[in-house]
Amino acid sequence: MKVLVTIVGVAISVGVFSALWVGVNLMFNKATKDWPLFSTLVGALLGFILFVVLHGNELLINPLDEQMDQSWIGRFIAFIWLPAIAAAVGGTVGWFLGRIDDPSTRLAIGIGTGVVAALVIAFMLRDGSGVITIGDGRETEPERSYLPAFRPFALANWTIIGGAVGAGWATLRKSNLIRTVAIFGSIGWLIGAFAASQLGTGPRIAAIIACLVPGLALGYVVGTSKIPNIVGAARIDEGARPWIFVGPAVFFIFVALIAPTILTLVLSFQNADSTEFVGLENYGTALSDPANFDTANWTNIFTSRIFILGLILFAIGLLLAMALGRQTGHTAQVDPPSGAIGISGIALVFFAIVTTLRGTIVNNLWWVFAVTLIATSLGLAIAVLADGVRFERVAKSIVFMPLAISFVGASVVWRLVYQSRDPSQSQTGAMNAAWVAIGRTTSDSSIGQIIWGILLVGAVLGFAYAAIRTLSNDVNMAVLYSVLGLIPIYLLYRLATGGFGALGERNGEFRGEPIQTLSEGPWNNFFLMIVLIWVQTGFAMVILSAAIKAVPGEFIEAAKIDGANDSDIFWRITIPQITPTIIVVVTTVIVLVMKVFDIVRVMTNGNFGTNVLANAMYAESFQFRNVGVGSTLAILLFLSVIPVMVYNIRKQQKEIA
Amino acid sequence: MATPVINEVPGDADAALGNDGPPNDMRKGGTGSTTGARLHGLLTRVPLWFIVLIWAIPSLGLFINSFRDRQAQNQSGWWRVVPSDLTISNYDTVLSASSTASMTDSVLNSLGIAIPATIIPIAVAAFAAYGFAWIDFKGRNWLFIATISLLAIPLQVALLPLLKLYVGGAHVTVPFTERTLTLIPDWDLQGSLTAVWLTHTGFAMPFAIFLLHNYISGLPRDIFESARIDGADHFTIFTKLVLPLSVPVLAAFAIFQFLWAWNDYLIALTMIGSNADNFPTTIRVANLSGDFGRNAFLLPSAAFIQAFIPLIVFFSLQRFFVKGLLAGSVKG
Repeated sequence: MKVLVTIVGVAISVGVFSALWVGVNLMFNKATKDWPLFSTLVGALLGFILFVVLHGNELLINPLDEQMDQSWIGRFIAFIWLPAIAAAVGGTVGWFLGRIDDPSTRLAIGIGTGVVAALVIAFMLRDGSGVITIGDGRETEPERSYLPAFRPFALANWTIIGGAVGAGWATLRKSNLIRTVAIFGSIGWLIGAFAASQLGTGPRIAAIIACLVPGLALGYVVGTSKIPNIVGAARIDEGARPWIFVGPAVFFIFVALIAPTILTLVLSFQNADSTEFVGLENYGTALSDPANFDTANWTNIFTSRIFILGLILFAIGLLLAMALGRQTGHTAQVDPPSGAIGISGIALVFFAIVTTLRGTIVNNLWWVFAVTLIATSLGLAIAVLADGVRFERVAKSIVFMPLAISFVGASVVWRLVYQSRDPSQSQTGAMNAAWVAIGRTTSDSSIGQIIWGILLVGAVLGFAYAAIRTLSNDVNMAVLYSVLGLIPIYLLYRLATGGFGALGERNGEFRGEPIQTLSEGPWNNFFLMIVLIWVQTGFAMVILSAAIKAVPGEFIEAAKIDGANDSDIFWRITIPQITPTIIVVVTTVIVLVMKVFDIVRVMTNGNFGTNVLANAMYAESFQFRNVGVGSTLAILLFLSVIPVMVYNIRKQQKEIA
Repeated sequence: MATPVINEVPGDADAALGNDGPPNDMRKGGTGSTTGARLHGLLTRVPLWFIVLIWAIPSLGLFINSFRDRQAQNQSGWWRVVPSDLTISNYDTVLSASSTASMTDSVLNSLGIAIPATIIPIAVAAFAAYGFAWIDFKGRNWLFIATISLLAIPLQVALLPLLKLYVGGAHVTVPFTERTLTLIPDWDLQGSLTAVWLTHTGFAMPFAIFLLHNYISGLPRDIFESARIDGADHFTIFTKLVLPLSVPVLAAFAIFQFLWAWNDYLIALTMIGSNADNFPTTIRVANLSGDFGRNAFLLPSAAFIQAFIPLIVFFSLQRFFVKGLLAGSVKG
């Protein structure tokens, strides 16, 4: 059953869309090939649309409303009969106008149609004497009256305004003065008659006057038109065709993106249930709420360990750059290794700040910074490492695969990895199992500790060797290796003072609990970020890989002949060549991370201090029903991507110019 | 995943994916079989496969656990799996319609969303891309730039008003009167699949037009001119010439859009609300995940059913997928 419903639903939606579009195209093909047919179709369509709008808004009396049964088909017939008749009449008129050349006959047909249509509408306008059935037919409500009051002043004012606009238009566009004034004057008249007057208060005769004048004027416009020659017909075709092609897309963009964005902006200036304007109050709330931006503990930044470590690294990088700069005559020579040390320093300082200042907005900044930096650099690293390696395709496919999985799926995958249980039980999450295993081997005075010790001493020696080797010709690399070598030395120190990792229960003793990955703040945020890094690294890798492979081989050959080694080639040729691509990747990831939602929603639902803007926006708008603040958060997201939008517009303008 | 930035990314899909030949030393500093070169090779391969292993472990673990029953999952990690443990009972439970966590209906719902949400945007965007590329009209550049500027727009900004549109239609109040005029009637779309794929269609537009326009505007001018001289109208040129020539880019976008619509969570969550009959797979899995405890052991199998179609698409059509990824930022 469900299968059938799905298939039928898909078929109807796709079929209706394509049939409509092909139909309009075929219709306009007829303009140059078969004018009478085209004219007939246009007449039928105009009549149909006019009465669908009037009837659909229940402006007209509908005698069939109470006759038809309230089934789906009955209501459809009760609705469609009038537009159908209008289409038939419009089609007939169009057919005549498409064939008859004689100007006086045409004028008669045009004015006659205008008058008849005006009288039909005027006499069918609801006057408040009946009831309207709503919904499934059980509910009724007293009918409204749409008969306008007769107000000559308003009528005259608006008609003059309309006529003046029409005259201006005709002068500017060099079109026929009388016809243009008639069209715009009619619009002015209709505004004056219906919009600028009290509806539902006048006599029927006022409605007749209100309709008859525009009917006459528009009938005159239609009646004075001529059957176009082939050039004129082609011009009609050419005028309409772009909009047939572009129109549907413009419609969707307007309805789904532009209009809602404007409405959201308006909602953000209104209160929770959008009943009154509150100015910038929502923005004040959003930015000062400690849940969004909490600066209470800012002094703790300076005492945090990673802050100090970050400063030290940054200082080393800076000193190195300045030392090298003295050799080359610059203030500071930023080389990749000194740059890498400096950037790690900055990153640590940033991490210290975002882990101390808390709140939704801070979290978003952290996400953007961490995911973009790590996913892009890891993707670049994998692209370089895998380049030309045996089974390159397999390796890349595995890294790339998470991109095909939904964020919801990725969250489920990582939830299993992150699972943590009571230390007395065996861990079922891979991460904590490894953490506990490390804890067991490092804290026992057993084989495990010896193995760890050998591994770490080996690592220290390796780094030391590398540092000494490079010391002779490259101070830069030597410092980088020395700094990296501090990591195993630190681990050795931890090993000597009781080990690292979680032990769990061992002879009735506990030491080092398993990590409460998702509930222990503020680092639970980072564990969520890892999920997105897992997904996005593949994206960065594939795009950067394509760019790396496109670096001309001659450049590399030439550099090799000049005695450049691998790292020179990478830093001085590959990286500058692929910088535009790196910018694409970074911007793409930033825009994507900025609106991260699914992962946070599924894994923590924003609890434990992990909320992000998109999740807060969803919760405020659809759960707490605070539409004002919800819209404000959405607008904040929007503001954050405006630089990218401006960049795109500039770029495209350049391309067109 | 669509790239919201305009820039050129050089290179082609095959190169990006890599080819499984013997290692090629052309781009490497190493020369032949010296010890240095071998050490160098080792230094590249060890970190590479270490990272790949880390990337594979999470999904592998979930996959293995999806074949272990509740008790096994609770007692030990997936790496302790023994062949006698393996069972497909989880998949049975998750797929059977009687179960509270049935995935069968939601797979159909996801298809009912993803198929129209793929076909209709392709059609609409192809019309527009052709219009922008090959039909001259006033305001064309302006309109195209406006479309492109929306590439980066976060969809959150449109969700609330769109939901209101589906709930009650669109109405404007006529100035100076208290009457409202209905622009779009209330079609009772709240909670329906139609609401979801209509939303997808709208949101997909900027990227789809951008991607297809890049390709279609790059088609050789001669063919259009000679077709026009032969008296072909735009409709004929579009259906007989442009569509057949654009199959690669249409396929690339189709895969993209299908995966995006299939994997979407936010739009479905907003538009479907609490109408459980219409839940797509992502909502089902997410709800199962929120329901700690009783049904947690079904989560791995449900997640794999959710990911099954994307993975098939991914592994069989990877080249097109990467092509789309690259084309998103390549100028035609």
